[in-house]
Amino acid sequence: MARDHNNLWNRVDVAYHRRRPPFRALKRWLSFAFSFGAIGWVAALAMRNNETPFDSGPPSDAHRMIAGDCFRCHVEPWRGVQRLMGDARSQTAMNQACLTCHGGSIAFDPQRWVARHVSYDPRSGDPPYDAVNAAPVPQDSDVACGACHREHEGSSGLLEIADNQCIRCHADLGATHPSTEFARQISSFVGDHPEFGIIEIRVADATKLKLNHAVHLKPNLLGPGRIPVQMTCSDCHRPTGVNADWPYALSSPKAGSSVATQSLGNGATMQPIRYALHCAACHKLTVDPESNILPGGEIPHESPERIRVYLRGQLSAHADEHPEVLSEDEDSSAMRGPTLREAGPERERLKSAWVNERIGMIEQLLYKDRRDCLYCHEQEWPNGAGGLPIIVPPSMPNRWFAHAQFDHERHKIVACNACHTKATSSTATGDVLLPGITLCRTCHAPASGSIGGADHRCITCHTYHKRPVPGASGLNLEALQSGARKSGNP
Amino acid sequence: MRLDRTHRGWLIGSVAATALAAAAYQWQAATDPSGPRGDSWIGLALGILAALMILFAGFLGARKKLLLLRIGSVTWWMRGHLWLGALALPFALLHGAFAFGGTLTTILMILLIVVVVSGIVGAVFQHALPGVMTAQVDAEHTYEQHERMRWNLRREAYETVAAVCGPLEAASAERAALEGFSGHAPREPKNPSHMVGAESLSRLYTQRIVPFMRNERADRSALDSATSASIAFESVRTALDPLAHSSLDDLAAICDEARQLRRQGRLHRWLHGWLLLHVPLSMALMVLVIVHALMALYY
Repeated sequence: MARDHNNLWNRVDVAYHRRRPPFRALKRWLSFAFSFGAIGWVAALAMRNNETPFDSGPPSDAHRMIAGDCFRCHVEPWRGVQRLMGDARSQTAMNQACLTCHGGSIAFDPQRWVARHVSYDPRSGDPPYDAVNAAPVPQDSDVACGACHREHEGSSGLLEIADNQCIRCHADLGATHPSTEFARQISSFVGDHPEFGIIEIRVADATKLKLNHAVHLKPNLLGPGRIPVQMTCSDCHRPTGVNADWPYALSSPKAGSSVATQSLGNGATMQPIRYALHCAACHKLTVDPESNILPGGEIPHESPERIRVYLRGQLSAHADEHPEVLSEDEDSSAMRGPTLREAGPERERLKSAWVNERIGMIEQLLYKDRRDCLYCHEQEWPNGAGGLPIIVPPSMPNRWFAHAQFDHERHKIVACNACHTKATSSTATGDVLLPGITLCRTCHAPASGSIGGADHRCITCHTYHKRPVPGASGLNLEALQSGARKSGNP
Repeated sequence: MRLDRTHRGWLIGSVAATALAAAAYQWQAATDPSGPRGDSWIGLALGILAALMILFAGFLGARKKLLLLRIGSVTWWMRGHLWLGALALPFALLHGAFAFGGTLTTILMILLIVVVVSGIVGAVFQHALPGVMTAQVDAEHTYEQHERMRWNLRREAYETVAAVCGPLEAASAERAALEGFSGHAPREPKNPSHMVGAESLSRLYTQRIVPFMRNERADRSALDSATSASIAFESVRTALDPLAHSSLDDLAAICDEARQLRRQGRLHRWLHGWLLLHVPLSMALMVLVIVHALMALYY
């Protein structure tokens, strides 16, 4: 039986076009499902007041606690429209929200709600963080906090300030600040950053103290009890926050009793050098240790005036306890015997004479003959040879890099002499033992082989923000709760 | 739509637009201290353009429905859909500085990537497969008729074999299915001729042709290939009475037609199947793009 092609017409369904093909029906159904699914998702989020999925990125760790409350920072709605309409205020609209919380730790212009740039005295760099009346070094332009502190970029964006933010001005500082005394062109640390000022202009250490690092670090130095010791840098130099006994302290007080310098966090600065903690064990101030007039024969490490008061007290007490000492003077021979034990004007006169004579002898020894103070200090005689000398204050700087911050704690993996290369050979106080920028660039540069790789951005050493005026009210609980500031700053 | 010379203008325009956008992005990266980001002026412009491209591409569906709306030909809209839709991806990536951002923006980027990639794949299919179909499928039919045609071919095959072999007890299930589909039983001769070799034809039908036409493991069937099908039929031909050879030829022709239907169906699914992914995701993408734009303006 051959196939009958005359019946081919019967093989097709002539009414097929009246039915929706399953494929198209499925496509349409899926399209509706996805469209309404998307709308439903957004509606569900809106009903739950959950705006987090609409974030442009994950919030920073610091702001995670307010991540769900968008209007805590986005204080004005339709800011995007404002921007498109060219409203300049939209740029800094959120600054107020930032400064409501952070205005207590940084200075800002309360009229424009713009953070102020840190200002230094370019010559002294002191005070390093705030000169209240200092000229505003860079003009505080209307910069949005978010221009540098990029929120919604996860944990890294908020404090990861790119060099570009600084280079914007510092690459050609002369153009915007013609009278600046700072370097006019800096575009990178490894490139054209100038040598550190203190190295560049060969400043001598002006500390008024005689210290020979080479002697102190030599082997078999005679230490306490004339026992040979080998001193190390950390015997005297430790970052703030390091708690350990000082080996050459007067009576080994805990380091926790050391005085913090400017509070920049642990390790930000070195603990100041103090006689009682670092020198006293070896460099004791003694006069006639064999006598029992002074405890141990020791003189306190104080100013001449205070030493005199101390001596007067100790000697008077000794004379009261041992009145026979007054008879040792020829003038008092007539009063030998019971008379000395009886209090009276005559005995007081003898005691005063005896005390003054001993004080004069000790001061002659300390300041003129043996010159104990001069071993380390400089002394001046403003009242002539008859008066007391003045010990010139050492004025040892707490910070050497006035415009930057250096954290010793973070560098503890590196040996001290890896950076302070001249320490073991330095014999003069005037020697500045800081490393130059070249040495820093060994590590703080792009990785190349076995060197480099450490952070070398501007913010590694420098800060942008100026600190607020002490006492200025920048943060209070009421303001935080209400989202409004009550007092301006500065 | 074929990607031919008529697309040259769109191609050049798209490449130029991408280069221009990349240059603007690069300029911003080099000069803006904050670097490239979506809320900068350039980032905003790129984002707005990307959104407009997505929405334009999405309106192709509406334009196809509204044939009376004479705003450009459907062909022009199709070309625009292809090129602007593809262009939306690099613009969106530049807008977001190659970061996906938060939940909504991440969903948007994933949707856009899937939509664009599926669209490109679909465009390639639509460019290449019609030619393949023309070359490989002689008996091309409307896809929506395939199901009915397969049943008719099955009926023809049964009746052809039954004409030689008589009612087939071994294919009673097939016979019942055919009757169930059309409401009447397939024709069977009342006095079959019982030709020589009828058993081998019957065996071929029940063991190979029926499963093949029922799509039961048809991919592995010898009848799915023209060459092996020919061998199978020739092996029966040698044992079959020459008077039945014309029926065998008919059976071979039926199987060939069924094979071509299968091939056309396979190509058709490749040709249009990607739309099941592309279109629904495009709809969701357009909804979320509008939400994203509103949120960006609001915050």
